[in-house]
Amino acid sequence: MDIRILFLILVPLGTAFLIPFIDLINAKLRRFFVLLGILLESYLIISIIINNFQSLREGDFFLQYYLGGWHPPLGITLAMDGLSLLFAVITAVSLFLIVIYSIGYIGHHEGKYYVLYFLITAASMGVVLTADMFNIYVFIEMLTITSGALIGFKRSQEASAAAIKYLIYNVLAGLLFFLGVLLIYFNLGTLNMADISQNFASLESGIQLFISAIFLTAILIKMGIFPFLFWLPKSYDTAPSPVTAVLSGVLSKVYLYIFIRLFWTVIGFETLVALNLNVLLLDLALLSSFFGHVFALQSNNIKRLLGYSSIGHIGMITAVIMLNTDAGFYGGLLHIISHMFMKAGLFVACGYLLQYTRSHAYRDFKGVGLRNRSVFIAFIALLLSMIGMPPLLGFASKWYVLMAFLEARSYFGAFIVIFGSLTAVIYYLRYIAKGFEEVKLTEDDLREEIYSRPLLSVLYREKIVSFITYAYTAIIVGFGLGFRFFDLPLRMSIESIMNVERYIELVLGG
Amino acid sequence: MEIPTETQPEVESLNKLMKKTLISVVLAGVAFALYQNFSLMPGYEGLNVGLSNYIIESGLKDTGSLNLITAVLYDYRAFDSLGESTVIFGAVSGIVLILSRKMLPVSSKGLSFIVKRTLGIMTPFIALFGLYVITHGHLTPGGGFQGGVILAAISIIFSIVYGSAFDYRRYSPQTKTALETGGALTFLGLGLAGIFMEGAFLHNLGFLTAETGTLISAGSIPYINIGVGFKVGAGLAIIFYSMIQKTFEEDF
Amino acid sequence: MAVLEIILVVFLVFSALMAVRFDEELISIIFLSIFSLILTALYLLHKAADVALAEAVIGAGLNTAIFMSAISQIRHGDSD
Repeated sequence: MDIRILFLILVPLGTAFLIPFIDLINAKLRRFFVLLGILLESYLIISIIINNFQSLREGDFFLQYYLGGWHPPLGITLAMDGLSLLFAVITAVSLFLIVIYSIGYIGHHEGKYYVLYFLITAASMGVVLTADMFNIYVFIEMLTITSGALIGFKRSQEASAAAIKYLIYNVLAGLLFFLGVLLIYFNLGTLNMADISQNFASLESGIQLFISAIFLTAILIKMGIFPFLFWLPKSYDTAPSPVTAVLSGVLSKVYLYIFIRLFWTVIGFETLVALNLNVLLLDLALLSSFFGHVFALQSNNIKRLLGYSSIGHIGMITAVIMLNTDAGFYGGLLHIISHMFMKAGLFVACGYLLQYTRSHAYRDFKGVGLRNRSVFIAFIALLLSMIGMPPLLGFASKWYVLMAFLEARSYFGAFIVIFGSLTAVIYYLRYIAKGFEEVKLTEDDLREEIYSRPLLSVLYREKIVSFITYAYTAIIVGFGLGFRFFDLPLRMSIESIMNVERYIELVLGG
Repeated sequence: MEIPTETQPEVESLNKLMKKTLISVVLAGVAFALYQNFSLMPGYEGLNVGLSNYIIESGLKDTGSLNLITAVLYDYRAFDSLGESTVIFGAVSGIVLILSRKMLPVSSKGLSFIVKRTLGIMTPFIALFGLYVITHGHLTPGGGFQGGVILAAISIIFSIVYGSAFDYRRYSPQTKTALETGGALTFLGLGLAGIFMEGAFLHNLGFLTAETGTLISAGSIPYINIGVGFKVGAGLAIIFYSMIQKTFEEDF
Repeated sequence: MAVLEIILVVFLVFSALMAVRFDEELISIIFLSIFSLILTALYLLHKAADVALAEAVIGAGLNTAIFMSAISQIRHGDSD
């Protein structure tokens, strides 16, 4: 019973509930509370790591909390093992950086924005920490509704259309997930993950197949894997940059966590193999990666292009995880971390650069690099990391992914990794070259430009926004040199994925 | 890209037909799979019902709530209810965020005199019924969610029958926001009280329990119900209001 | 009891089909509301009073009101 893992969910939830109240009293106090909430959250994470460092070293790290005092399988249990800790830490770091960025970037409707942002924080922490199927569904629903609202944040016609498209796809996925949870409860009479995992193999194979297929469809829609990827680029394009950074940096990773938790801990990989779903899923993910990179080649809009490249990378991560080897998980988890920082950093940098352009289109990217040199150099460093240049974090993770594919003799996968890097060189270099193109401004353009950037011309806002961009670049460069730092957490997570019996024992017996 | 105008409707109707067939095929497939699954499942007697049996047997003893559904919702799985009410909270924030723009006010004058008088007589009874459903959640069917919607109906009736300006004067958006966050904080506060008094988040508060079957029995369940009721009611009223009016312009 | 249930289920499917069938939004909404009412009766037949109350209040009451206000917005929006 460690109460801090409960407060990891309650602190952002409480902050979200308090913000409208504070707005009614004095709107100027809002930012103070936002910072307080996020700092408290970071403090909790850091104190959990420091207090349990010894058990982390030894590999027997496990914390849990019984909500309402009901022991499993009766009540809801929160459980934190190595995998949860890894995802909780990287989610918290990303959300911390992006909330500071938002203080600089968001200029209107701040109250509602921070409410939704903190609900996303609470929900992603809840998804990562809970050990109960229905609870996961509740938090998924929370993520969907809040992120859908934030996609429509700009309130233009386009943004509303994108938000509605996003909501239709994702609510449908949520309903499918709910159907799966319902069938599990009908058949097994329990909702606790460890309990389900113990009894799932006793079901008839037809029911197993149907439940697995439903969960798979739901998760594939949520992650944006090939047959269901069409909601993704549009919503990435129209959402404001910090929201896009959250969508691609946090939400897709949280869904990847659900994917791993569901198909390794709850349903079990042996079941997938027995149902012949693993080969299908591997091919689907690789195909999705291929299509993502191909679509990115023909895209003429920087944010859409980054969205398509996200599809490529998520597909690659899913594929390498589906190999079900230690090397595969090592590469996959490392690439989850590096992609989280690279993509969020890129969208953050985009938010700064695109303040000065008329639209997100390729032709408007002209001359962007000449006007804000330092941010553009950070942007280029992040792009090079996406391609996989050696001293950066992207290289390390791609290398491990490639090695995992080669080790498992999945040559199509190895080809996709190389193909992704090569196409990325083409489609990113185009933008870098365009950014350095000389542009001649007419007087009308200049006047229009002065009016078109009211927000970031405030000095402290510009300072914050560019500082966060540099921070992301520093993370990419620093961890690229010292990526062995992730060795311990990654081994710990792989241990907790592979050792399902220990999870069951700890959750039910602890 | 010249499409002859004569053939366009034909193409469109063909597209529509294609879409309809596709949707029907998918739906039929899902229905077939569901039917297969349900036919594979063991019969009602053979279902694995360990958890439900336990709750039916000792739910009343554990929680003191006569209505076992409320016992599950606000005691055994109270954290899920906190999550669900947070979903509504998020939806309200999102809808206010997206829809708060200048719109044409609908039915600003309201309906005829007869309707107004009738509703004036009926409204207190609706409110009473809503409050009854909320506060008797642990004794009779109902609870915070259902009662809250009934309370929200009052605000909706006001804006339809008397015009939205009347509703605005009676319950301004600020009041509704205060009620909503107040309800949410009540829920959270009762959960935190569980930590200090009983040692677990959202633990039922034992010292509040009275004799089973009375209004103030079942520990903290009625109070959570009241919090959820006001939260849901005010939230849904805000949703409806922001869909018809134009006064949310400033950021509050 | 069984006869009543079969009749209700038939009407349920009928109202669902009708709600999809019509292009006019208003008729669809009315049929959805009828659908909710029949569903309420079915829940009551199966002794799920809590769910029945929720369905009656939300499905038949609130949803209809919100759909109506959305439609009135669409019709007003046409002149914009």
